[in-house]
Amino acid sequence: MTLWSRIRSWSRATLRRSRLENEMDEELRFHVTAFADDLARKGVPREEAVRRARMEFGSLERMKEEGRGARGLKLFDEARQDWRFGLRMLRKSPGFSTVAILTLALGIGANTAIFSLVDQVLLRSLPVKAPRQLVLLDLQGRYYGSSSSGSSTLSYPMYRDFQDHNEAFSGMFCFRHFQAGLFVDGQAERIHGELVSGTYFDVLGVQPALGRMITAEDDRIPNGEPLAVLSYAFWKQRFGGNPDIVGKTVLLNNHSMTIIGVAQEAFAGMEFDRPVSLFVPVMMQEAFLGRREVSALADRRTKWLRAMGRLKPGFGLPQAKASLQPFMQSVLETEVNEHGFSHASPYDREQYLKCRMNVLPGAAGFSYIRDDLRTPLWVLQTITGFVLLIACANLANFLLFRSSGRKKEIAIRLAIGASRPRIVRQLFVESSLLCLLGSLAGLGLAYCADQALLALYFPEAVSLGVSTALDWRVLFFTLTATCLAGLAFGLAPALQSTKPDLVPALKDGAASVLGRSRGQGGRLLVAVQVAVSLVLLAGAGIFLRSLTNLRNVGAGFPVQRLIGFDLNPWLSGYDNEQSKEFYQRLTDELRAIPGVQSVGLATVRILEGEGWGAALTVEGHAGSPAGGHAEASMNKISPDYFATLGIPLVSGRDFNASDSQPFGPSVDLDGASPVAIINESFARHYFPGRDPLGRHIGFGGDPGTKTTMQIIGVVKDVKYRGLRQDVPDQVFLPYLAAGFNGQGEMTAYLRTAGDPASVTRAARKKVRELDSQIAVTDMSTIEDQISESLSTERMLASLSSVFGFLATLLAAVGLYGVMSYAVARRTREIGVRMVLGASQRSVLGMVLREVMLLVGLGVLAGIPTALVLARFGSRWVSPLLFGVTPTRGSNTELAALILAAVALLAGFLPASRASRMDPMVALRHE
Amino acid sequence: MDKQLELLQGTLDMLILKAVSLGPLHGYGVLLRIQQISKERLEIQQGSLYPALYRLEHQGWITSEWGESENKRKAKYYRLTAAGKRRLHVETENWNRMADVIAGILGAKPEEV
Repeated sequence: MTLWSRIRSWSRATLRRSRLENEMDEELRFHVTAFADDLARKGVPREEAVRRARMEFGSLERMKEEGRGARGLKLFDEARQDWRFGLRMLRKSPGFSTVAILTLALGIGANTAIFSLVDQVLLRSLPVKAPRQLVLLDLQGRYYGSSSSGSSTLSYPMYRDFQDHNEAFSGMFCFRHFQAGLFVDGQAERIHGELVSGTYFDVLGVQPALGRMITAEDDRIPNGEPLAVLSYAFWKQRFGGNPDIVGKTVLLNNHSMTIIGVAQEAFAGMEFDRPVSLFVPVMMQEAFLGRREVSALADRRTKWLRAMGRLKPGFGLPQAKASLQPFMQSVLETEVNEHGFSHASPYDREQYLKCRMNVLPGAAGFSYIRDDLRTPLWVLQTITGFVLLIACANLANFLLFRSSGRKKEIAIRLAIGASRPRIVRQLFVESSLLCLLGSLAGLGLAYCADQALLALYFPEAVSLGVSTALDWRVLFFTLTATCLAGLAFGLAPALQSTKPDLVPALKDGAASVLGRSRGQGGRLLVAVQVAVSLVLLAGAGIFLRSLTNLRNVGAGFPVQRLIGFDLNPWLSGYDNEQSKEFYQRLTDELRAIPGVQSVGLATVRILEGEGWGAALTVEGHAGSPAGGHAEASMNKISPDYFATLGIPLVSGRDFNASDSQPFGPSVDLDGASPVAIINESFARHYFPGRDPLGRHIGFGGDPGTKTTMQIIGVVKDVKYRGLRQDVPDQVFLPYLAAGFNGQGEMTAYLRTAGDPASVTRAARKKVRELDSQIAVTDMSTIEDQISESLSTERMLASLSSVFGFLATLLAAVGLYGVMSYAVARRTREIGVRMVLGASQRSVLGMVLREVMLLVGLGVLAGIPTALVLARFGSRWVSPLLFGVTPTRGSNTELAALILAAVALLAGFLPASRASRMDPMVALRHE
Repeated sequence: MDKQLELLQGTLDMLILKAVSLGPLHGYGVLLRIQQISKERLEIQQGSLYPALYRLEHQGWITSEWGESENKRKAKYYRLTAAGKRRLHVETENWNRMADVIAGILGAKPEEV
């Protein structure tokens, strides 16, 4: 009751302040008048009565002040005064305020910009029910069989085994990403989708926005559940949010599918960097992944989908993992005794039995990009943290100088009765104001920086759902950073400048001649800044060198004037024969484009992180000592592939058209051909000192595999997966050979005579003329493709350099400030020296010596710090580097040199100002 | 006339509540009424009256509204609220008990101890 009335009274008082003041004034005046009236009635003369009434009543103002206090307005009033006064002080010295706010804006802006990326790429959870309970199953160990689609995949039967036998999960589901051709209302396009189990939506807790979701009922008949659920975004964008969409039929990879519903808003599948447009029951996998001899739904020797579970209450990751192992063991033991292992070597069997089922956190779903960017982003966040630290040190220094400049003012205020807490509060409000303005400017800066970052390093990021929008989490982060910064640099100066020894401050005399001991804290801060800058510059040096190394290592073939693009006629309903014919016609048509020198096709696009590894048996080679079989990175190529890419033949011959003829009925292995070409590495590795030409290799690593493919040529080594990886052993097969499988994507390479840009347009036109339903994707020059594949490295190198120099700049500003202040304080001393005969040069030298001392101290502290950090960070950062080790490859000396140069420049200005002082003026200086 | 007594610390609030409980009063009226009831034996610092009034209003024990004084001037009148009534009751009880106890102690004779 009384609390409520207090709040009501307080809010009335604050909100209707002027009315309150007027009322109070009127009330008190009435009192005085009434009092005077009474006195007059008792016979006192009117004027005398008014005077006495006023005297007895006392000061109106004081009474009002007490009245405000009684209403709880005192704190409020003081705070308002503090803020007003603070703003006035900032306006009074615009130079200082600008530098301070800019410094903070840079520090906070850099942090916010990077955190916004960290937040979106690394921290954001899936928009589903209780995402923290989700875990991803991750099979660890040497798999026997084929795997597609990267890490953490399982076979469908194994997923079903675990779905039926586990104690850890309240539910499980599986999913597999696919690309498909969508044909609806006479228009074709390429879309991303997800094959999902019937439990998917239920376990995730994703609700329908329209219609119904895929349920366990849709999990029964292989190839017999032609249903699709649209994602909300795709429904809005492609179908204009049409509510009549449910029940409509669309053609997906030439299969007609009925749309049964639309998923809830913002949900677009399990991979944040590949948002999907629709979901299809996993029973329909053949339509998207292709028909195989054994259905992928029954095959235990192919892992191709990811499985997730929702942890039961009370289960953490370790408990879940432990509880899965006994059943895992029984599954493995059953599998090795099945038909799928009948040809397996004892080694493969033994290794397979050692597999374990791991569980990974699944709150954020699954993403390759996230894994790639995790360390780089945290490295950058750490770096920006240091930059903020340096910015704060600068501000602390600035405020220290300023408050010591205001010592007299503060001493006077203390002397006439202001309380110390009140003045500390006042100074604190001033620094908070700086902080607030700085962080506002920083937010603006971060927004612009993020847009530039996205444009520079993640041109495709916008489609990935990464945006520059600053959400509440980023704002919260900035707020926290700001508050910490404000506390860090605001409080110490405020406390120091209100130390209660007033007398020396008020006198302010002798100290300025002899006071060298003052400001040591500021100098220490500058030395620390120099040290931190050195560490950052050295770090940037490592990343720069790594990038240069990667650029220099090269692909192994000339990448200029080379174009590549992908297409997949299978997605438009082509069968094997039609695809073959299409590729042959495509090659001819592309070759006819003016300016095209040659055309090559390949099933694996190189230098894109993709790869196709296969187990092989090599004639006359017993396999590796460990018992494993030979392995190689494969590619299927057209006859002109080597010529187009500019990869020279070392010996033997290239494929020709006749190599593509079927070899004979004896070859039934998928993808086998009568002939093969190997690279130098393969030759060195498996035919040391012998001529590989005419020898044979076979597909598969099981004992007794027939070696039916004859080696007809050896080509020079070139890179395969990416620039970062070593050249692998490679085997090339003719793309139209017996086991031709038209279901995959094909990359076409064009070597041009002149500008690739004009050829690009012509090539698109040719494909459209051949079949307008076939989409051309990922068209780019190989130069651009390589540069894009280095985008993470580029980002690390350039941002760490930018931040390193930013730190150096801030440290220089700090040094400049400290030295200017020191010179100003010692004006009189310098004047005395000059009068006594010191030359300009010796004064300059004196100040510069001090600068050198500070820089030297910082560098001396920085070098071992950089080394220690390099040692500890090595394990963490090494995977990001190429051809450099953090402990040995850093350019600490160069960094130290740069720093020293910048610092000397910053120190030179105040030094020369000191040396050019007029001694007479200096002596009179107060 | 007896010499005026200084008000005991902390009793002003209680006296104001009592004065106002007898009927709405403006600030000056509160002063007059207390002096009148005490037969001019109690001196109240004028300076302390208004802060006390505002404090009581802030706490919700009295409430105010503008009215017209006997001399046709605009004046602010204070009135007791329900909460104020309870408060006055409690304070009066406490005061009486305290006064009894203190009187008992002060009136004690050697043979009673």
